[in-house]
This record gives sequence, C-alpha cells and structure tokens, in this order.
Amino acid sequence: MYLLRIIFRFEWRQLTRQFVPVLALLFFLCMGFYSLYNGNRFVSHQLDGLDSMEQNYQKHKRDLLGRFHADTTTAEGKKTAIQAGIPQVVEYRNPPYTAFSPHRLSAMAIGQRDLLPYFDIVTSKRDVFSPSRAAITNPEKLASGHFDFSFVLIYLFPLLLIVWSYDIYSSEVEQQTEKLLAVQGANIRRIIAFKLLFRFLWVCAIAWLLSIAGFGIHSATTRLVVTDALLWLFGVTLYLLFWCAVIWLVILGKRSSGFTLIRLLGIWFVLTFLLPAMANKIVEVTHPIPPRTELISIQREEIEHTWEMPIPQILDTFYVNNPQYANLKSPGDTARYGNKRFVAYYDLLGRRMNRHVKKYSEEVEEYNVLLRKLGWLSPVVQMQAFLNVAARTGLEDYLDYQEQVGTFQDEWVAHMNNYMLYDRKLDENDIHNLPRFEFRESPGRWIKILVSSLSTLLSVMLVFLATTRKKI
Amino acid sequence: MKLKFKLLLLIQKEFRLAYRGKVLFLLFGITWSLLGFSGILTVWQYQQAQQEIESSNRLFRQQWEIQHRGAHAAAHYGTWIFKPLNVLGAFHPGLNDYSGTTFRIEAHTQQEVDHSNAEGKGSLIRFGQFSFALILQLLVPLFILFLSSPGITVERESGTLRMLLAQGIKFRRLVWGKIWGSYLLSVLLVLPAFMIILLALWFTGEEMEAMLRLLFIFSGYLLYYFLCVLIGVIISVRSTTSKISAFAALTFWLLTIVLLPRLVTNIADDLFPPMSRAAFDDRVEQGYREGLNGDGPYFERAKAYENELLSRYEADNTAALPVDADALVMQYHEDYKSKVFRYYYNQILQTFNKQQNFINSAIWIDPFIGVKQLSSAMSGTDFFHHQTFFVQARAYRDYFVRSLNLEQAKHPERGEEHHSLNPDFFSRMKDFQYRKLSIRQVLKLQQTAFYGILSWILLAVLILHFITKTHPGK
Repeated sequence: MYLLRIIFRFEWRQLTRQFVPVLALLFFLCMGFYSLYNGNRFVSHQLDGLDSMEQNYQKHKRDLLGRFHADTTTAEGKKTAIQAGIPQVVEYRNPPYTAFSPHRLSAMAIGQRDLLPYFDIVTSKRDVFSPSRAAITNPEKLASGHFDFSFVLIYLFPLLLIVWSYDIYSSEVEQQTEKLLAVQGANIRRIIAFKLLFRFLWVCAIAWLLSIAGFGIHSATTRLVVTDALLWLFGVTLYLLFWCAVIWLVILGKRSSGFTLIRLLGIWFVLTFLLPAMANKIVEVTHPIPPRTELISIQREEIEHTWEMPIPQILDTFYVNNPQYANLKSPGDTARYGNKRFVAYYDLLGRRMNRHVKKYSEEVEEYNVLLRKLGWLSPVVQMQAFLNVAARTGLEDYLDYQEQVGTFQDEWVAHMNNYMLYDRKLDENDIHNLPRFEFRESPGRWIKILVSSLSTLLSVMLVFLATTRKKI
Repeated sequence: MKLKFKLLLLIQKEFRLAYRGKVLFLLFGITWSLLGFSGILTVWQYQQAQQEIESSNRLFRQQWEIQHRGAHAAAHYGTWIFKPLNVLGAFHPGLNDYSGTTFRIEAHTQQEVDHSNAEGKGSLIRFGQFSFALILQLLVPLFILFLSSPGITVERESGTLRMLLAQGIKFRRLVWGKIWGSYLLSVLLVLPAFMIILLALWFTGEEMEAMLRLLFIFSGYLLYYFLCVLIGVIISVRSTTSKISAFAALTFWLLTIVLLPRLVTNIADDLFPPMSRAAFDDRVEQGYREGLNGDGPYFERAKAYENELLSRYEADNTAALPVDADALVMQYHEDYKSKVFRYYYNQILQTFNKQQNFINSAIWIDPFIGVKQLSSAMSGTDFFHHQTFFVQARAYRDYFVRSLNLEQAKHPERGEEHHSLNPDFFSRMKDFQYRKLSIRQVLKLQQTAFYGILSWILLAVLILHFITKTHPGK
C-alpha cells in the first residue's frame, strides 16, 4: 500500500510537471465533450422529428373531428360531412405512426440509428417495400461515421492509454533507473504495474466523467434506469481494462520504447480498423445477403395473383382464416370494389407475403449471426456492439421494434376491419380512441447485454494470464 | 551533373539503409499481402454483385415485356432500376454502401434511392470496408510517415549526421535525398495497388475512360504521398529525438486522417442541418393535397385542368373528348407530384450542397479530405455521382409513367369497351441508361482537391526551405 502511495504521488508530480500528457488529457477530454454535444444534437433532431409527427397527428385528428361539424349548407361542407368517420378516409387522412424513440444512452452510442428509420406510418396496406423512413442524411456523413462518445471511447481512448504508457518500463531501462531500483531491492514489476494502474485510473476517470455527463442528456424526455447506467460504466471500464491488459503484455516484452510504441500502434490499428473491416468483407463475400430482387418479384406476383382471385374464393379464404367474421358471410358479397373484398385481399396478401419475408429474414439473420460470431474474435467490435445494445441503437433493437410494429399493424387492421366489414363509420369518440403504438422493451434484456460482454471479459483474462508468464 | 550525382548517391544510401533494416520488408510484406488479399476479395465481390444486378435487370425487363396489362395497371406494376457498378467503384466504394442501390418506379409515388448496403447490417459495417481505399488512405500514409519521420533524427542520434556534413554534404541536399529516397519507396509500396486495378480494368473490358480516371486517382495519391513524405521529413528535421518525431507523425496522421474528416462532416451537418424525414414527408404530401404557392387543393386543380381540356377540344363533357380525360388528369397529378417533390427535395439538395462546399473548403486545412474526395469522385462513388443517378432515375421514372398515361389517354374507353395494349408497346419502352459524370465535370467539381494538395506541397517545400536554410550545415 505504501509503495502504491509513493508511486501514485510520484506519477502525479510527473503529470503536473509535464506539458504533453496534460495537453493530451485535455485534448481527449475536449473530444469527449464534443462527442457528447454531437450525440445530443442527433438525439434532439430525432426527438424534434417525433414531436412534429405527434403535432401532425393531432392536427390531422382535429381536421377529422372537424368534419363532423362541417357546414352542411354548402355543397363542399355536405361532402365533408358525409366523409366524416368513413374508415378509409380516417386511415388516409390520419394514419397512426409508430415511434422508435431514442433511449437516454442513444446520444452516447448512435450506432445504426442514423441509418434506420425511427418512425413508421401504419396503414392496412401490406407492402414489404414501402419507402424507408430513415432520417434524411447526407451519405457523406453516414460514410464518415458519427462523432459520438462510443467513437471516442473505442478509437481514441486506447490511443491515449498507449501513448501515455508505452514507455513506462522501457524508459526506466533507457535512463538506467531500472538498475538503480533493482540495486535497492525494489520489485520492478510491481512498480511498473502501479504506474500503469495510475494511468488506467486517470483514463477511466475521464471516461466515467464523460459518461456521467452523458447520462444527463435529455433527462426530461428520455428515461434511464440504474441497470443501464451500471451496464454502461461496466462496459467502459471493461474495454479500457482490455487495452490496459494489452499494453501490460506488450510492455513486458521488454523492447525499446520505439519498438513497443510501434507494436502497440500496430495492435490498435489491426483491432480497430483492419480486423473488423476484413471480417466484414469476408462474410460479405462468402455469405452474401440474399438479393432482394427475388422477394420484390415474388411480391409483385403475389399482388397480381391475390388481386385476380375470384371474389367468392378470396372471401371464403378470408372467413376460413378469420373465423371471428364468419357470421358476415353472405352470397351477395361480390362487389369488385367492396370493403369486404379489399379487407380479404390485404389479409391474404399479408399472410402470403409474411411467409416469403420470414424466409428472407431468416437468411439475413444467418448472415448477421455469422457476423456476430466473428465479432467474438475482436473485443473492439464486441464492445461497440455492447455499447450499441446498451444504448438501444443496434440492429437487434431495431428488429425488435419492427416486430412490434408488425403486431401493431395487425391490431390496427383488426380495429379498422370492425368498421369496414360491418360498413360502419367511426364516431367522434372512436376517433379519440384510435389505437396508438407503444414500444415495449423485452424484459431481462440486461442479461443479454451482460452476456455480450463475456468475450471481452474472456480476452482480458486471457491477456492477463499471458502476462503472468512474462518476467521482468 | 555533380549535384545530380550526389543526390543519386544519397538516394542510393537511403535504399541501402532501408534494405538492410528489417522494418522495410515488414512494411512491404504487410502492404502487399493486404493489397493482394483485398484485391482478390474485391474482384470476387464485384463479380457477384455484377451478376446479381445483371440478372435483376434481366428479370424485371422480362417481367415488363411479357405482361398483358392495361397501361395504368402496368404503371402500378412498375419496375425497379439498379445503380450500375464499375470496377473502380469496387476498389474505392466511397459512399456506395450508404447511398442506396435501387430505385422503385411506380405510379402515384415519388421514391428515393433505397436499400443501402449498410442499413440491414450490424454495427460491424461502421468499422469500414476492407478495400483498397482503406489500405491506401489509412495504412499507407501511416507507413510513409513512420518511414520518413525518423530520417534526419536517426542520423542525428547515431552521430552520422555530423559525419555526413563533415564530408561536405549540404544539409539541404541530404534532406532532399531523404525525401526522394522515402518517396521512391512509397511509390514502390503502392505500385501493386494500381497494377491490380489496371489488370482488373483490362480483364473486365472497361473503356479507356476508366484508365484515364485511374490515372487521375493515381496522380492524386502520388501527390498526397509526396506531401506525407515532406511532412515526415519536416518533422524529422525539427525533432530532437526519434521518439518525438514518431509522436509528431502519429499526431499528424491521427488528426488529418482519423479525426478531421469525421469532424468536418459532423460540423457540416451541424451547420447546415437537413429537413427531418417527418417534415419532408408531410410537406410533400400536404404540398400535393393543398397545392404549392396558392395553386389550390388537388381537386380544384384537377377541375381547372379538366375545364381547360374541355375548352381546348371545344367539348361539353369529358365523355365527348377524343382522349381519355382520366388518364390525362392522372398525368397532370403525376406532374404536380413530381413538381412538389422536386420543390422540397431541392431544399434538401441545397443543404447537402452547402455541406459539400464546407467539406470541400476543409481540404485547405486537411489535404487528406481532398485525396479521399478525388478518389471516390473518379471512381464514381461520391456524393455528386449519387445525386446524378438520383436525378436521372427520377427523370426516367417521369418518362416511364408519362408514356403509360399518355398511351392510355390515346384510347378513351367507350362504355364497356376496353383497349388492350399492343404487346410491342412494353418492349418499346426504353431501358434506363445511367450516364456517369464526365471526367471534365469531375475535375471541375474536384479542382479544390488538386489545388489544396498542391498548395500544401508548396507550403511544405517552403517550410523545408526555411528550416534547412537556418540549419548550421546548410
């Protein structure tokens, strides 16, 4: 304990007397705060977008309600009043929307949120290829990547640790102080370990400080639970610990300062740039995502085929698939553009397309599973995925949201069918009580997040185990 | 002659020193292996993607030609067009992974280029593509900086600098010897990259224009690598130890290649934020329904257009018209939708152009942005090529839908009588032909890149001139 105090005091004096490390710390701190500002701006943009969605929804709802009180003394007013409450008009004028709201941590790890839609408009129509509602962003920015806290943590903080620690042993040797310490009977390994610990704690403290500052972003509009905050801090610490272990291992190689630095930079470059890019390319080439062309072509055929089915046959199929409406069956339902035909058409089309989409999604999932497996080879990739999952900005979170959108669409269709099939109109009260989407988080997801950190934890342990075989 | 000989001797010395050291073999080994591996994967992937696009185009064309629909049903059926690939783009993917690859054509709906490669994938794609661009833009400059930055400091540390100066070698000449020595090694380092692309262009039968584009890419990189060498040597002249020079080189690389490009695009987005998706979609929808600049709601516009048709043909009602009024009204609405979409999309485009101008101006601060922009522009994978594709795809969409509506308009329905289209009509529909920006246009758009890099080279040479001038052994 005494040695630790001495080393820490010595290191503190060194730090306060040297210009470069202080400047580097300040620089990284500034980068960190800028990344938080950037993340904050991104989330604000999405929150504003969702706010304008809600405002538009409420405005359109007011317009719909206004139709019930239209001035029927004019021809236009009469027309409007007649249209009030017609289910198709309600859906066309004011379709519900689903929101994939940003989480409190999303500002710190934007992940795939800038590429994926954060809201959807739901209608009874089943179209697999409805236009993407992803945020409008210059592809130049998407390709450059976002400057969020996860970027600073994943790419820059390891560099800070490297440039601050690479020579903690070699400089002792080069200045010949190592021999002096050995003569005095000091445990050099322990001294070097404490020196590294001092640096690790500093970098950790900066990362924690920035993270805690990040937790405060959008506190009024987005929620945060203690488990999320703890998981985030755990991830940040584990990642820095991994780099600390790597540095320790390389330092114990007892090579010159220059060689140690080159070796560490090489490892950093390989882990952060080369390995992920290579893994990505290899999977893309060997297991390419199936082309969408086939699915597009199938959808076009299914649309045609379903639409051309004889009306009695499509209605019969509908009543078989939806026995709750069987009492509506009537031999007179042959209207080409009748409500029942449309409902039956979209119901069957949806069922048919779901089968194809499921098959396609399974093939895409195989690709993503392989990518995730490869991610286990790289703690850097794994930690980026960990941060994204913790911030609800990964692909899995979006797919989870998409699944809930699908369920909500079923709910919406069932709700509107009750009006369409019974040729009923909605009244003012019905319009006030239209179904709304609410995103529900899957329970116990924190366990899944924790499990995703296992590979990094394992890497840390393995690297530290390897260091025990090296001697100073 | 003597001067030239001394310089050659110094370059020869650099080569000998490099040859003796193991580091050079390591650098060449790593770079060439990565280039070879990346080249194989890229060509493999390109062939897969090219086959996929060709078969998709064939499939949609075939489906289009064999249909027996009416004109309006065919317009709803629509088609899909795909962004064409090219070999240079495979080696320098630029924005291709993020800008979308397909464009859907269908009646009544204005689409955007969709289905980017990155959208359905996990976070791994954000680490970048393993392409020549990654090796040539990230790894090679780092190697060049590490190769050139210890040049003078090593001589100083080992005491050979004094010996060389004592032998009558001018310091400035020694410095230029280091520069040319390192630069020639750099050229050798990246030469296989261009040989591989050249071979790929040759085997795939690309036009001469592609070779010319490669020449410009090559020139851009060579200029940038020369700048890297100059900066490396300046660092080496100013540094007292190799440790300091390594730090300075790393800082330069980190700032200009990793941080600044990302910072600049983020700042551009911050300064010129585009319209939100929700606002854009709502404005396009409302713009059509309610009309732009007081044009009136869609039903009033349609009524006015119908009246204009009636007066043009001097008819009392639409049934008396020699054309299908519904089809013409439909086309009128299509034109209006297109106008509204263009009106609001142009606002977004203006914002994007401001962002691009800002990024282009940043080349004066960070020349790396210049070489990045230039290589993706010449490869046809930059922002401007993407916009060109979108503009051409939209124009084709308008032509496609208009042809169908006008065909329907020519054959007004009389009672139960339906006109069926001549099957040749669908085959006569022209295919989408993408016209890339010409080299001249690309050069005009990317002139800042060349001027920026050249100015940086000039500045570096001037700095070198002044710091060598003040050196005792000048």
